[in-house]
Amino acid sequence: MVQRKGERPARQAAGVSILVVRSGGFAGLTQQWRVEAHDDAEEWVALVHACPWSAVGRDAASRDRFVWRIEAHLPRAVHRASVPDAHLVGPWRTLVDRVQEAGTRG
Amino acid sequence: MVAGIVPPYLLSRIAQSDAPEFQQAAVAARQTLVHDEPRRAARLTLSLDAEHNLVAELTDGPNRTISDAHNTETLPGRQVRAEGDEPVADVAVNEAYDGLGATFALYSEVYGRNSIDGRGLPLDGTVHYGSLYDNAFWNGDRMVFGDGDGQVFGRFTSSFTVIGHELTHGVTQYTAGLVYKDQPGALNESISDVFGALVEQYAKNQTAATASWLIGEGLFTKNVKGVALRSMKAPGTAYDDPRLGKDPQPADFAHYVKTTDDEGGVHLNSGIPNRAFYLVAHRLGGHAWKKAGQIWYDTLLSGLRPTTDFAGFAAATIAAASKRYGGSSAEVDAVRAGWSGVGVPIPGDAADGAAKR
Repeated sequence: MVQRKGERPARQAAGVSILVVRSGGFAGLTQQWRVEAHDDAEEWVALVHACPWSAVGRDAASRDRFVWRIEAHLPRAVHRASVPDAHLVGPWRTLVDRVQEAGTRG
Repeated sequence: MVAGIVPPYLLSRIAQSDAPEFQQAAVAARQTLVHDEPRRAARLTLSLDAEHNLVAELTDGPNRTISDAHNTETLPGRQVRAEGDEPVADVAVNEAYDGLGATFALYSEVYGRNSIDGRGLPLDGTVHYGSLYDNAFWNGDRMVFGDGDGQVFGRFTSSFTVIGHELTHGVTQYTAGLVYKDQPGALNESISDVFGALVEQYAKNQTAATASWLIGEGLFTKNVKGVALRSMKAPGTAYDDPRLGKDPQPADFAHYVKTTDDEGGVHLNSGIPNRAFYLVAHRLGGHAWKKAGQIWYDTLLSGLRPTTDFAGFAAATIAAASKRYGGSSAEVDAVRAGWSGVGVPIPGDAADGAAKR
């Protein structure tokens, strides 16, 4: 796509950025994965919308389990959640698996 | 002398025996059955005294069950080894079984504590959890061990410090109940490292001077530049690897890490009280489980609030040392020096050394 100087690419406005940070665990090693999606943003938006952002399960009993911090920056909304490993199932697991597969690590 | 683990049905048989040579054994077995819960195991030792009488001694014994999740995340998995069973072909199963036994032995033989709850709670573990799972955890009821990914981590059952660490989360749950966040969370973690290290030292008969003070030694594969996951003696030095980065643990209170990840950095800031314990043990010398470990164990049972912070815990260890060894004892001096060595202030600490809580 040809861009004129000083003009932001139009498709960036519709872009999606998803960050997954895994912390805790016995080792206490933090790892993170990030996806920046533009052309296939709609697929990612659907994965993000499938997650229950306002109803994240709690796990007060476990010790040394991973904690997953997930942030999704959509064109018109930002979602953030801290998901205990025991509740990383269903749509959460699907989203995290996809970010780990498609994203960059570091 | 014969020593073994006695299942309840055998205790019942011994208790009912009226053979004269088993009289003492029968009495002991009856007492155990009367006092104990139905599923509790006991250790029976038979010996002959000077007059060739059979002497039976019953002491607390572990009640272990190991299950195999077969690389799924479904708990508990299929039972593969129960208390008293012979070793199996699977090394992870035997390591978990032996590690639970070594942890039970430290608590029972040194501190007189019968299992996690002090009342003979069965010890349950699951191995081969998940696929290439890089972790071991306590879920409130059982210890769960992953196999590691094979590239960074190997089996999580391979170190007694890990198994002792997980089981101690259970002990803390049944005693101080420290919340798993921020400073009380870092104390919760540190207590698990302290007794995890002591399980290994007790099993190997190491002194404070000869012990490695490493947590999770041998868990990393050869690809990783590092000796262990944590060092209690020198937090921040356990590994320095191009892929994993450098061990991020602080060694003193001035470098406490403020973060929202990892429940407020509970696995990072545990380095501070870990090193305080090492300093106490090092100064007292000898076997660390005898004095330093006893003071920490007494503190755990001293009625700590679940929200106790570093300074509150430090004051509680001084109070515990004063109670057991006297207010002007060398043990109290060592505990003070330990906390002072990591820069944790002791509230209301008077120069006369009579710390009160």
